[in-house]
Amino acid sequence: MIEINELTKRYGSVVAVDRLTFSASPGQVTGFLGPNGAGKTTTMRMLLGLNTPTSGTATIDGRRFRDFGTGLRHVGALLDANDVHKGRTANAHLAALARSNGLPRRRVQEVLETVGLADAGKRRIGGYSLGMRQRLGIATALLGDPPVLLFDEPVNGLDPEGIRWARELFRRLAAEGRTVFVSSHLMSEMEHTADHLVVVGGGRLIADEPLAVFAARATTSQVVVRTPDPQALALVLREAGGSAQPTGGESVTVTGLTAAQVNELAFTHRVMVHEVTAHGGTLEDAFMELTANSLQYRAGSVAVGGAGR
Amino acid sequence: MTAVVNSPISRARWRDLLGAEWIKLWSLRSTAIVLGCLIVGYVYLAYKAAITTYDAWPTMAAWMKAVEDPAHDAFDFPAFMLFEAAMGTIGAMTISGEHASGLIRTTLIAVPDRNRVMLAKVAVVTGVLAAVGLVLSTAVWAATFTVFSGRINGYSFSTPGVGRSILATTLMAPVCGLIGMALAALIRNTAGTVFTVLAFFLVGPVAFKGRVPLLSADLAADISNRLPAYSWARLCLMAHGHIVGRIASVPTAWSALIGWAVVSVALVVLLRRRDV
Repeated sequence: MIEINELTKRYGSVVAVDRLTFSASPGQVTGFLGPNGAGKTTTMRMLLGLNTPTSGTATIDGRRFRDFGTGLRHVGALLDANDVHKGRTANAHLAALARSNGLPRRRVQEVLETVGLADAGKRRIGGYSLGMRQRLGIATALLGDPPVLLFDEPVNGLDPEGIRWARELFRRLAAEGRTVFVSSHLMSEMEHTADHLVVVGGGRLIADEPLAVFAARATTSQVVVRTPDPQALALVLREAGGSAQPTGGESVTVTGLTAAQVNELAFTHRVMVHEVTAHGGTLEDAFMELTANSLQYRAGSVAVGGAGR
Repeated sequence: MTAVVNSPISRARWRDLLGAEWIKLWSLRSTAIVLGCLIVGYVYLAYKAAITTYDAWPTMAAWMKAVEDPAHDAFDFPAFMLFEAAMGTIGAMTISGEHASGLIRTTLIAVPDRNRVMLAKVAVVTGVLAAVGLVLSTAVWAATFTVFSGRINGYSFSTPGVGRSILATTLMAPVCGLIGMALAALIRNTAGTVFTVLAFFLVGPVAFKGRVPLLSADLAADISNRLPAYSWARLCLMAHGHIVGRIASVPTAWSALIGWAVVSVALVVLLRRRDV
């Protein structure tokens, strides 16, 4: 169980995390979502006692992390896969960590096998690919077989097979009754992994709800039509009460009408269409809308939607 | 499906933390290479110096023989300034290596008790560098006595001053390492730390022998005598026949070395509160 209460971190005049309150429960994967610079990593660092909060508390199973004598049996965490000394072998790296917590040496080989690095243990970490380092980081988190696991952007650098593997691992860990807390800036990653979502932007809490509830926000659907005569079709659809926007070439993007209605209108008005595709609103869209207001680093002059409240 | 176990809270055990730091130190190839080369190199220097004295002995003036100080050959001061800098750098790297790589975060997630982590590191560095100092100084004397035998008589491990120089070197090596650790804890940035360590050990002893701005000559001499290099050199001195200038008393030299160690450990531990 992870509990964050009114957690705040200021760096001078910059508020990285602003009175954040939420919790993550055992037995499920909690996705921690937010754009770059939303305060996800800072929150996790405070949770792990690496950074001192300006105010508020962050506890794991009712305790501040710094009050745990040894951490690995209670909390496993992967913050940054590069937080290793590249001159050591994976075996030595894990052996030192296991030793510091009084864990048996055999755990090193066990976790390396779990993450698929059994044959790479004798190699120096400097020679690892980013994907291998992510796996090593996950192995580090699993070392003490802890009831609470934290992963900060764990699938960065993993190949598609690795992403699927990580996703299944997180599901399995949660199914075993553990608290699994995974941060990401990509909604698509969370869609198939998380049971519960905590969305932050600009250091503030934006949403804290089950995935199913979050998905219901994604209602704006649209229809994309390919037609040789976009102008004529747009006119017809607008007269029928839809909003039609020619979007270059032969395509028109329609909102306010279903795919069936678009087909029917085109048929009755004798406008040729080649293709009618319905797009359900994706979780990605819902996430983008929600966080649009809080984006700190944005490219160019993208129009800002009014959603988010 | 495995059962999730909520383990009881327990403090990190010292022997586990020491074991972990021991693995960390020796699992870097450079540790064994650098320490091995230092020992071999300095024994070789002492061996060459002893041969020079041995060869010159028959033609040496009687008054020179009377003030002969074998420690002067065995522990060549300028060469040992580099040794002190090496010890300081090794100590510094045990901390700045963790900060530069980010390993410090992984370490502190495994053991949140920063005090204990840092003290275990201090203990391992102290123990290993003390062993290096002991082995090196003993081997240096063994080489010297072997070369001297048959021509320059009267020196052995039981000669007054030999034991003190061994003890002083055994203390000096970890003290320099601890100073390096303190500077690394203070500065964190690797390049900045190494620059400061080198400046302290290589430039410091030279700078304080000259005229130091804002300090009276007496004060400059007092500080200079308490620098680790001069404190150690004072304790290695067996015959101070014709030294010009002020030298510290033996107790002052011992307490200066111990003082550097205490202040350094305090800095390493006190600086632990910062965000990493």
